[in-house]
Amino acid sequence: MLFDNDERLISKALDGSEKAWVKLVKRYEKRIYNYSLRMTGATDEAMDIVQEVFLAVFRNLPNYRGDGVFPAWLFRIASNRCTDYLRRKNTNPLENKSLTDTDTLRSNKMADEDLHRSQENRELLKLLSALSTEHRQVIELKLFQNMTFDEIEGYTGLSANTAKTRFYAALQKLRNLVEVPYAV
Amino acid sequence: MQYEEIVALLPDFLDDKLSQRQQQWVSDSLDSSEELRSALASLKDLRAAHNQWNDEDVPQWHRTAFAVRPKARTTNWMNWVSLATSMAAIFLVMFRIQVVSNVDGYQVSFGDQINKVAFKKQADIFLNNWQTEQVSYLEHRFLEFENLQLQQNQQILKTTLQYNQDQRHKDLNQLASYFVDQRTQDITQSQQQYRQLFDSQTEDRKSIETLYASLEK
Repeated sequence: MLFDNDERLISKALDGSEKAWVKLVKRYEKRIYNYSLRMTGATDEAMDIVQEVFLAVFRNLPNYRGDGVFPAWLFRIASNRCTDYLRRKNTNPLENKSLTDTDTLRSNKMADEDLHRSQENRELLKLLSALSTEHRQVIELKLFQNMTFDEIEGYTGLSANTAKTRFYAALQKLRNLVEVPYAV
Repeated sequence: MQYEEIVALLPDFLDDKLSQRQQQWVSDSLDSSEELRSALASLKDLRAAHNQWNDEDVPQWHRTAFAVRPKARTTNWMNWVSLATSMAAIFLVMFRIQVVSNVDGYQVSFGDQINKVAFKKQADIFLNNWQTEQVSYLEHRFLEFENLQLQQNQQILKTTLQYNQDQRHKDLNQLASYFVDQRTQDITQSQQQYRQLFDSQTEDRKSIETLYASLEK
């Protein structure tokens, strides 16, 4: 078959087909990787999360009900794993990197990564770096994954009202940070 | 809380997805609130940045490191090769195989030249012994077969005779029984005939006596 749908690939992967599993991973890894990258701001950490996500997916694949919403199921795992990862680290790698002194605060490695990163991506990561993990998560899900607040509630376990509050706080914080350099 | 509700609607407000009433409400709120306008500006900045986001390629990684199945157990052919080599070496030593290169090419010989005669003699002895053993074995087998055949024939004969005897005994019993029955029937029939004859004679005598009496009168 020219195009295997997700369910078919999952079925083959469960039967032990390594090829089907790789095909399935390749289909979604870019989305998960870029999501993780925006959440962490670092390539190696994003890759750690990608590996954790697909490991979890592989282990839970027999429990997948095959009701045709594999991407949603996958992204739910990715969201949870990302939150767990950042909570486990208990640090926010992007915090404390103000827009004014990024060159001095970033590690050499991240600076190297930045050199190879497009200017556009750098701008977004700078903006996101001003936010806490919780705020960034809501912004990511709401704006970049186009979820409703009810969906965010379902994905993260946060109440819709808490998500709205965080969304508002995140926008406020961004505005303050943008205005500060010009105020000085 | 009202601010948060309005801010929550801002993405849909930008996309013009709200109802007419909500759109108007958010618009009026924005007109009257600097804070909301700031939030909207932040939202626009974020969206603009995100719209320019170029998905980055995933670095190389091992996608099956955790998903790989245990490798199928492959035959360790090296073990077989070493075993075959050892056996071949033992074979070469035991049979004193020599590979000699000469003008005619390679020549393989078993044992050295001196022992060839002895080897032939040994082989002849071995073959003679083997032949004797085989003849003896075959004779023994033939004898066993003959004995078995004899025993089986005797058994068949015995069984047949026994059967015939039983059958004959049965037939004689039937014949005797038939003879006795027939004799009894014959006696009974004779007695009846004698009785009838006697009755007839008696009747005749009475008739004669009656006739005689009537004549005398």
